[in-house]
Amino acid sequence: MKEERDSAGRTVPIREGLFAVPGEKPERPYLLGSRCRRCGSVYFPRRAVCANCLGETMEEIPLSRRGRLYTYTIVRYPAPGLRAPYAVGYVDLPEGVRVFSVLTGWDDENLGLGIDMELVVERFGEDAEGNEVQTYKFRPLQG
Amino acid sequence: MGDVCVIGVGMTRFGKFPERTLTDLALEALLNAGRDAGVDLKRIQAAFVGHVRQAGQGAMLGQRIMRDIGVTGIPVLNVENICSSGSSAVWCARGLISSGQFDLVAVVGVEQLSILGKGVIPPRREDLEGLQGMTLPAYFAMVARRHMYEYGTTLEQLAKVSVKNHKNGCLNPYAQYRREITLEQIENSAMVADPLTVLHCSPTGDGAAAAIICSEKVARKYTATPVRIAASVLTSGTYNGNWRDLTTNDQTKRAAGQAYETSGIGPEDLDLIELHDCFTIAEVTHYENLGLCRQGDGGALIDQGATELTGKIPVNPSGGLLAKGHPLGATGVAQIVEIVWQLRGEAGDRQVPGARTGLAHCLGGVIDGLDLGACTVHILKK
Ligand SMILES: [Zn+2]
Repeated sequence: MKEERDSAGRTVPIREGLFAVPGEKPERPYLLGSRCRRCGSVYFPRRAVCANCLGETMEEIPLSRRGRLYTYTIVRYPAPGLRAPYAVGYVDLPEGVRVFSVLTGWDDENLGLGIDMELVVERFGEDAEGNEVQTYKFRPLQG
Repeated sequence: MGDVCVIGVGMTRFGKFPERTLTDLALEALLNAGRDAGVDLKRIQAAFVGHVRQAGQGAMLGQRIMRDIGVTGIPVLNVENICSSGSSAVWCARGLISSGQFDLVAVVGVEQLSILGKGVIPPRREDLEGLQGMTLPAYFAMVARRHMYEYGTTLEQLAKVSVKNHKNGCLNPYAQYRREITLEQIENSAMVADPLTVLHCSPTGDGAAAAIICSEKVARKYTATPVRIAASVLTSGTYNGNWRDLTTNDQTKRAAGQAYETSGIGPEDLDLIELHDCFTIAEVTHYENLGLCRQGDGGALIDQGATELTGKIPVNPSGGLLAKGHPLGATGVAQIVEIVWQLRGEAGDRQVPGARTGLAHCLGGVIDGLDLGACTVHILKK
């Protein structure tokens, strides 16, 4: 299956520099954040300039793969080009970053405010050249 | 320095008019405002035009409007601040008159969303959130869910906002929707983003509104009882390092705080409010942000009936965005129009008896990492 898809097109991230997927199995993808070397502020997505102190020396850091669901909704009337229903929400990471994210692995019962979530990287859609577009998503942590 | 005054207002009915043009809508509102003021529009010294340029239409719109009435050569500024475009145009006008640069200017707000087709307003794809499926209803649905979780606000309390504003809209001949709706109809209407159904959302539509704004000195030539702009504040969102509190809106709080302070008029002194009820939950949170009640008590305030037309502090007597309609650029100016009518005692069946002070609040634009894009608060008094 995988090879067939690879021959038809590549997989491309929804945007460069948002997340990394290390080679080993099982996959443990993580989000790429920035930390200001001067004041320690953490950002996602990455930034070149610190909005807090205007420092321009930012280091790239991996963000935690787990967080808590701050709020969410199941979208029944989609944004143009997307198919409903889909779920989106904000997930709070221990670094003090509240991340907007598509949610996956949900059903009508397993989402709730404050529950633990885990990061995965999955198919988001397809681009004009037939490549599979991937993005980061959070899913409810089982058990 | 005297006060800045509003001496004439006018608007089109809000609704869906795909066969009309932006300039045509804007002209109707502007000519109405000019007649209302008794001002020869050829004397206008500057024009500020709020418009969101959906689908790329409407560049140089202000100049095209002025061209059609032969008012040429004057400064014309097109103002874009999403839902606060029209009210930001009012802010420009008030500021430049206050500083002595002009003493008679026109403000117009206009939008035509019906030509975009049905559905939600498309998000900006340069924003990561928009790219990944964020919509305005989704954003406010998430606000609602968190507010319900933290404060025990109920879906029925939110629905009551829509019932109230539709009831008011029935009394407004300029409203897009003039029909009462029930809690059951709201609950049973189509789900847009859980827990908000379509009757929790303001409609898309078309329309224009205009105001003639001038110095106190000029106002005296036209009327003995001008409406004064006691405060005019514009704020942008707070950047909190990606930690956005969805249950409150800091920029509305700051704008209201400044407006109360500079005018010496507090929330307890207001006779009516037109606020940005783009979704039912927005009205409930703005009760809190504008200081009508404590954080978390917005749901109780609607339960008490305090914001009904006959309540302690009527909110959105015009029907608000939910029933009067929400043609983005026109919205902020139309709020000013309503308050002027109310303060003059010309609001017909929806008149708040003896109204002397009113507040208009506009808030626009979901932007990555910011609260929202632009907020204005204006306080008008007799
Ligand atoms: Zn810094």
